[in-house]
Amino acid sequence: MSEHAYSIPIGPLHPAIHEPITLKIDVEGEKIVGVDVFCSQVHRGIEWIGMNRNNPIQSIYLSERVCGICNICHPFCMVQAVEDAAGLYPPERADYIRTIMAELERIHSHLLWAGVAAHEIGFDTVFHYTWALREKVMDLIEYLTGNRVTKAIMMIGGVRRDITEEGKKKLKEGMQFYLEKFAKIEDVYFNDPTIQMRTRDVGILTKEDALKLCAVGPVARASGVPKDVRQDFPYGAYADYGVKAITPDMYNGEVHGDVFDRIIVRLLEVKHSVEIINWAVDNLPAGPVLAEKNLVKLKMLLKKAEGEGIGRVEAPRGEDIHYVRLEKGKESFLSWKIRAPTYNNVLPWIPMLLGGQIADVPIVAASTDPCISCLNRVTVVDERGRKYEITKEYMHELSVKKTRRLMRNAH
Amino acid sequence: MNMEEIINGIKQRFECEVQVKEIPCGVKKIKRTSIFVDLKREDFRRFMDYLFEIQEYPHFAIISATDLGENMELLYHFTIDYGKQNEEKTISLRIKLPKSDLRIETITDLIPGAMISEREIHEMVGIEFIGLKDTRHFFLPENWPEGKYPWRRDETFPEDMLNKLYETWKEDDNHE
Repeated sequence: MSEHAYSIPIGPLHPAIHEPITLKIDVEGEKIVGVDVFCSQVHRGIEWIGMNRNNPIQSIYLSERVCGICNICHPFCMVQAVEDAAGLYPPERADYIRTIMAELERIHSHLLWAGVAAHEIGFDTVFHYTWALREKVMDLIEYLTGNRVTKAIMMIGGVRRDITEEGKKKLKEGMQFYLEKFAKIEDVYFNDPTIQMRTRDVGILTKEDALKLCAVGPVARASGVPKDVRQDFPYGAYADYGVKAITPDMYNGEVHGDVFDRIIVRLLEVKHSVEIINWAVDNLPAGPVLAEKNLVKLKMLLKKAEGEGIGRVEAPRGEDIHYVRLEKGKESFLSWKIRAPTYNNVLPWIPMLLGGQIADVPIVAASTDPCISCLNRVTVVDERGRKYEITKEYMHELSVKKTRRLMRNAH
Repeated sequence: MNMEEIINGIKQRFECEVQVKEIPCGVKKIKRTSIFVDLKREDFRRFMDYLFEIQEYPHFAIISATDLGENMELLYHFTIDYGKQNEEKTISLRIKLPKSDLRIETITDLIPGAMISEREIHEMVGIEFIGLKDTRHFFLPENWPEGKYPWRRDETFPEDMLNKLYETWKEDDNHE
């Protein structure tokens, strides 16, 4: 760090992620020369509660609360690990319903993300348009599970709610709606020159860095690593469908590993999810949705079980993995480890941000799809000890100004 | 590389127990494979070299830790053969460390992406990673007391820091 460098702490509440996180960015002028990440703000000890207080069935609902957006994939992952440990497997129909739910979640999460990305670069009309589209899938989720957010549909050995004929019809209608609207979304995001100017060759993650830093999900795929748990590791109904990982070269034949590529990957995945849901609805096998209906019996069975299991799910943000170990006679887990996708996608921020500009921090941080809701309280401290604050609003303004400047220069 | 080759390769080179789990899913009952390897601490780095032989960049998922009373058990979860349809396998390396000597070599020189996980295990259960350059707290606050480990089941667990809501309520509390 040279004597002209400033250190900017961003966070702790919170530049980009669901948990509060601190980014310490060293800048020279507007150029970023050093990045450091800290998480030590609010560790909720969810794993500890699962290991000490809750029984496994209670822990399903606890794991839903790991993340407000991925609240299908965390319980999905956890029940897979417990099923694996206890040797109790879900019926086929449950596998398909889980798949449908996980894909609905992906659609809503990716649309939410696309809206946030548009907002970060100052396109609020696109942001509102995308979020208005997202309402349709939220309504579907509410219709199928009873809730918009914490869906409470997963159960060890199956799912809690079935999909009726009426539900199938609604799902088909909803998917038709997205297929029709997709062309417009595609046009707005892929062909707009300003979005390209702000995101092309910004926040680049090379393929090698992605592999070394173990990046997961759309971040890894946008760097050209064809890694997708749905494709690689059979679970749910994905192996029956045969998912192909989406990389940006499928769209335009090239891989840059930048923010624009992450937009391409996510939006193509929305279309892909629609196809998977349509297929799963058409091929939904008949039969029960739960392996063990009686909760008391299930609880006793889990108390007697001994073993360990791994659950892996492709969450909207990437690979999610839960490790569970059960001990005979012990009601709660002996061991429970949750690894959410952002865990692996935090370190790649460092190569992405290095050499970039402060105005690019919001879009680059947002491009890995964390929550950007509280990028407040940014303090700038210079070498001589003077302090002043940059708020989220100011940083957002910088980002919007950069977009406007680029638009002016283009004309 | 198929399953038998991997398992034979492991058994030839290392004195260890290998356990394979295959779980079918969906209608076609295609199986997913998890491999658990019980390894000695001395063989750990050698096993990492072997892992790099069978996969150019083995994907590191997470380290999980379990307190078994006398020992701490670490499980390093890796995946190999990713990017191939239904071929990916998880390999979990199980290493038991006695509580009197909780030390193991770092893998951050081979896999930089393991840094956060090693720092987490370091602060949560007190394992020392030999060669890990950055040992600051990542999830716990900076002023966390030394020698207290929240994921342990022994005297180093910070019992006095537990927030017991039911204890804060007393009979004669005025709730008006």
